[in-house]
Amino acid sequence: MTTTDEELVARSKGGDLDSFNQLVLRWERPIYALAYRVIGREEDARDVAQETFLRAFRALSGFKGQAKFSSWLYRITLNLCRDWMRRQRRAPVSQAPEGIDIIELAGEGEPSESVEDLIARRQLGRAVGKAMSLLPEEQRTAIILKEYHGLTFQEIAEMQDCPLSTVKTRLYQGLTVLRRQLQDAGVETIFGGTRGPAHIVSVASRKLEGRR
Amino acid sequence: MCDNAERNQQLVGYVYDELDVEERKAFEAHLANCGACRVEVAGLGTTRERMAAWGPPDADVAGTGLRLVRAAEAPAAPVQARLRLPAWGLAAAAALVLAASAALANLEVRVGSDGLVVRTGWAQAAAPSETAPQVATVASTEDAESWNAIVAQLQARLDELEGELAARGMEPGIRAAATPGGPSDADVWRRVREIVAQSERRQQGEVRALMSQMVRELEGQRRSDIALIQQGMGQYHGLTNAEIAQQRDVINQLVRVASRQER
Repeated sequence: MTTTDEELVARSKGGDLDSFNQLVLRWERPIYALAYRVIGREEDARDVAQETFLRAFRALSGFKGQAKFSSWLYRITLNLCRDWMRRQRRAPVSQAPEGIDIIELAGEGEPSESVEDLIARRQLGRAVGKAMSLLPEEQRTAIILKEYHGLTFQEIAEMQDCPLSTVKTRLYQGLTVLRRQLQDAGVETIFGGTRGPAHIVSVASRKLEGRR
Repeated sequence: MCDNAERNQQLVGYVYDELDVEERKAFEAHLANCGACRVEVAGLGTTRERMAAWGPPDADVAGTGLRLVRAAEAPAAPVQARLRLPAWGLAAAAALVLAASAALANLEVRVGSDGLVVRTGWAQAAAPSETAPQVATVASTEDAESWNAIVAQLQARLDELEGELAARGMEPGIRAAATPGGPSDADVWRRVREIVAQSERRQQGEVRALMSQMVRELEGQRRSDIALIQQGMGQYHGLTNAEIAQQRDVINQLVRVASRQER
C-alpha cells in the first residue's frame, strides 16, 4: 500500500523527517525534469530542483492542502525558474552539445534499440528542445505541464493564473508552431530517406550487367 | 479550414481528451465532415509523439539529494555558506542527505560463497525495463576505503557544524529569531543530529558497499557500452570493406568492358 502525498505531508508537518524524505524521493525526478525543460540547462535545473525542496521544507507549515502537494511543488519550481530566467535576461537555450556523444548515447537507450534509432531519437529530442525554446514562455510552460506532467487544463490555469480558455489557446498555438517547426526540421528523413553507397553500387552494377 | 478560436480550443480538448461526452460527440461529428480538422488532429498527434523524444539526459536525473551529499564532501565555500542558513534550512539539508542515504539504503546485501553480493534499489528504479535485477559481486576494495574516509570527513564536518550551532545558540538574539511556537533551532538540530547518527550507524556499512558498487556498475556499464560501440563500429567497418570489394568489382568490370570496347 502506498502512502499518499497528503499523509506524508501531514506527518512531515508533525516533524517526521523520514516522511519528507519520501516526498523528496517521490518528486525529485519530475521536479528536475520540469526545471530542465523550462530552463534548458542541466546544472541550473538541478539547482532549481534542490532549491524547490529546501523552500518546500521551510514553507511546509504554510501549505494548507488547498492544492495537490505536487501542484504546490510545481508552482515553487516554476517561480524559481522564472527568477532564473529573469536573472539570465535572455531566452533559454537548450544546452545539447553539437556533436553526438556516442558513448553517452549507447548507455541511454533501451537494450533493444539500435544505434541508428538512438541517434535518430536523440536528434529528434534535440529538435524538439530547440523548437520549444523558441516558444513564448507561457506557451512553453503550458505545453510542458500538459504534455510531460499530465496536468489538466484547469490545473494549468490555476498555476498560470489565467482563464481556462487562455490555457487552451496557448496549447493550441504552441503545438501548431511546434508541428510546423518539426516538419521543417525534416526529422523523418534523417535515416529513412538517404541511401547508402551499397545501394548505389548495386544499381550501377545492375546497369552494367544489362549493357553487357 | 476552421480557423476560429472556439474550434481550436475544442481541437486541443479533443487531442488531450479533455472534452465532456457531448462536446466530444459534437466534435467527432464535425471531424467526419472536415478534412482540414482531421489533418490537423493527425498532425498534432504526430507532433506529440515526436515530443516524447525530448527530456533531461537520463544519466543526470540521479537526484538532487545526492548532489547535496557531494556538496558536503567539498569542505570549502558551500559549507560556509550553508552555515548562515537557519536551523530549519540545515534540517532540510539533512533531510535531503537522508533522502539520498535512504535511496542508497534501498539495497540488498548478501554474503555468499562468491563474496559480497549487492543489489541496489536504484538500479531497479533507474532501469525498470530490465528483467533481471542488477547483481554484482564486490570484494572489499580501495573504493570502500576512500568512501570510508569520506564518511569520516562528513562525521568531522557534522561535529564542527554542531559545535558552531551550539555556540550560536548561546546568543539570545538567535533564540528570539526562532519560529514562535515552533521548536527552537537547537531542538530541531538535536533531532536531526539524532536521526542522522542513528541512520548513519545503520547504513554506514551498506553505504560504503553501495558506493563501491555504484562505481563498479558505472565502470561495468561503460565497458559494456564501449564493447557495444566497438561491435557496432565493427559492423560498419565490415560493411565498408564489403562495399570496397564491391566497388573494386565494379571498377574491374568497367575496365573489362572498356578494354573490350577498345578492341
